[in-house]
Amino acid sequence: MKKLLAGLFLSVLVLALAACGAGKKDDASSGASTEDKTDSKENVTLTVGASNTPHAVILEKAKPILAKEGIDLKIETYTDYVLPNQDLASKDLDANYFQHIPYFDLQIKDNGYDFVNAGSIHIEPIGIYSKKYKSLEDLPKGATILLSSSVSDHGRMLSLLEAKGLIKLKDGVDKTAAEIKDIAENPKNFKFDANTAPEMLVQMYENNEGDAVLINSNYAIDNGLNPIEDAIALEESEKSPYLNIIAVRAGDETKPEIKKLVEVLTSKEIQDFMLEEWKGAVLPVK
Amino acid sequence: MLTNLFPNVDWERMWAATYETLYMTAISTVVTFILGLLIGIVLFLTSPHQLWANKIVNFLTGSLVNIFRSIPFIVLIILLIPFTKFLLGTIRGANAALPALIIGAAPFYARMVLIALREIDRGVIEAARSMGAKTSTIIWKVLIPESLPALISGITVTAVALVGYTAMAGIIGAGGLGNLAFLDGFQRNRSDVTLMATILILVVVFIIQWIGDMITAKTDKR
Amino acid sequence: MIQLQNITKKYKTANGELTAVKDVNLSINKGEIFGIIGYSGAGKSTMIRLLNGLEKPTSGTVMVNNQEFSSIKGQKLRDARQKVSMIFQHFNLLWSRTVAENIAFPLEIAGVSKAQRDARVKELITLVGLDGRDQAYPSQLSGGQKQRVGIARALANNPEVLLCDEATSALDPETTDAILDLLVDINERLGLTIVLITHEMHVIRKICHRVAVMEAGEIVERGEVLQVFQAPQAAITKKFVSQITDTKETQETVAQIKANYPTGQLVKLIFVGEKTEQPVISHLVKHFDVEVSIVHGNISQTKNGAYGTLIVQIDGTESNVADALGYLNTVEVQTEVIANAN
Repeated sequence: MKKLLAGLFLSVLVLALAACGAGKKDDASSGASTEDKTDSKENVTLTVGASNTPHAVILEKAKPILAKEGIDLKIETYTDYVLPNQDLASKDLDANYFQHIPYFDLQIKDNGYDFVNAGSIHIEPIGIYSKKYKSLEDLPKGATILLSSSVSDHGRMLSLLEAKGLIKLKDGVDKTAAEIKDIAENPKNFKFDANTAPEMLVQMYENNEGDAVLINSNYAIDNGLNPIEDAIALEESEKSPYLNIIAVRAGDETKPEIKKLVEVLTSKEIQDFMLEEWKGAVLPVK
Repeated sequence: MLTNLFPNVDWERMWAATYETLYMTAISTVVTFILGLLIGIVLFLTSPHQLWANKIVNFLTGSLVNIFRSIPFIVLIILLIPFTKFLLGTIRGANAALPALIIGAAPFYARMVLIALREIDRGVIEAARSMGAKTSTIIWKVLIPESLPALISGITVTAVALVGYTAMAGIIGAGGLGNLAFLDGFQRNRSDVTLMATILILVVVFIIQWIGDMITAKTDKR
Repeated sequence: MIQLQNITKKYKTANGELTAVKDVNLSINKGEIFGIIGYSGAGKSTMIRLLNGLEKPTSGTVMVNNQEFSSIKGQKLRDARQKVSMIFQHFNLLWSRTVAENIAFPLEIAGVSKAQRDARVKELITLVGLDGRDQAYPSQLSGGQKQRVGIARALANNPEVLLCDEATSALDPETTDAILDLLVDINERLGLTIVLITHEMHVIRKICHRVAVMEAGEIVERGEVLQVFQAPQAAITKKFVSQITDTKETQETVAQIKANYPTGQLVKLIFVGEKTEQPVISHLVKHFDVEVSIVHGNISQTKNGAYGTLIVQIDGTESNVADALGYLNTVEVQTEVIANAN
């Protein structure tokens, strides 16, 4: 009996340690933000979780501007799409900046998070890439199209394919939550492979896997692709629901530092930077 | 009844994932066994005082083993992309995971082979030499049979480790139970999927261990 | 059958160069049982391994069965090794193979067909007295049985020479005797030349025709066993000989005896060969008017005849005792005075 208990205790200990250690990359000092009164000025520390590109890059640009306003911005980078929300819920982050509204809504639905959209910042139009074909019309019958294994991306990707006239989705389906099984018409008999992790999609494209690959723009840019130049088709950004937002715990959206963050990120300075840096692959919100 | 306990589980996908895990584990284990055995034998025979004693070869082989053992598996998958593409023509799917699985596990198993061979009584190798055996005979008829229980228990440990690795192979579309647990279970917050996938992985591991233990016992005549 | 000429073997160790064998010359005849005795570190393990090429000499030549083992390599060496077999102190059987499979191993190496192998293995199992144990695994055998398997294995390819590396050192006395009997049997029946190394003199005594004594890499004495026993020259040889004649017990007894028999002379008599059978003692008493008390006696068999020692107290007048001793010398009984009373 003693041995069993000891074994159980050890397993629980190991699991707990593993759960704590996973995911985060930079900055071990990920404590919950508090009113940091160490400076002589009344400085506020704001810890924001973000994807590498372009989100963290944009935040870096905003950091000195915020510093002048007395906000000490700490940026935590993430390589996945689940932990930023988990860490926001557990108060390890004050805000996160990596997801678009449909994904945000899905995460709340699946996990019951009590979050609020503090403000929309930019759109990254998703692109279709192909080394073999120059345009969508060139895609042959039976071509293989690669999608991300993250099901929450499928709505967007399938909507793009529908917008370009390649497939038709069933009537009444919520476009942002569409899945492959919701395809009603597929005249060119495309095969859809949705097994690759989003961060590996660029590798698939580079290595000529499949006939066309739909790649999230932040990963594309991270790997040296330019959505404007390299994609054979690009999502329309007008009226797109896929706005990248600042997400916070409910109630925090009224905090002055959060409001300031959104203000700075939507300021002319930052918006000009986005256009200059990514030449249309990252579009600031109007 | 199961559908009530596990409402979110898509059984077709679950079995498909089980098959993918078994497929990747089985093939990578077999090739790892062969490759690891070869490397381990080279490491052993090039050691000081052995039949092919050669400091340089021994050092180089040992270093390669240490390097590949140290590379985190997920990094190995990415590093091997050009090689995998060249070898298999694709970097997607269960087959594309095999090079990384094998190249990651073989050095690990090679070290276990070395340990197993070192346990063989030196006198027995000397006796074989005195009988006029050539080196290939010594390898096939002395080294391998005399260390077989240790070789089998070693590959059993390696196979179980490979089951764990196959979970990470999911990022390149190799599927498998670990990947399903992560994508469908964890990311979509469906704990019944995670639980079921984990149970199935446990069953696979138990079976592997049981088979390994049985074969080890049968080959041990000491 | 075996010739070693000017053999020297040096090893490079961490502490410098070690000379294991120093300029040794040795010749072993066909059909004889030749023993090499020495303490640990004397160089005998190295010596015996020179005979089948497991060690190569630093200088000098090794000829065994008309093959120059000191220089041949590769397939030539491997083929030559099939005719010069070896058995070991710790048997060195493959535990993963049955008795039959172990014995068959050298036949597999020689490329013998399965049918012929099976027949030969059967023969050998009977020869060494292991009938019925052919399917057993070494882990199920006793030490003596394992050594029999070793011997059977060594005989598989009809060798000309059998090398024995401390073959009985790990066995109890009874089993040792049984194994030694087997070796003698094989030597007599098959005419097999046997070279054995040991640190135990009773092994040499029991079965060897000739012996060489090694110390610090050199052969310090050699010759027919009986001669060496009778007249050991080197100090180390004397030490070895006393292993089977004067045991420690005897020496203690002698001290006791000296105390108990204060008069007369304590003499050690050494009888060799047929002399052990003659009624020498009663002759002494009858003709020389001395009293003879037998204090301690020991007779052992060697290949060339019996060897006996007797410790007696000869009591009587000085001249009678002297005459008695003189007589003994004439009948070729060696005498050695252990102690005078005075």
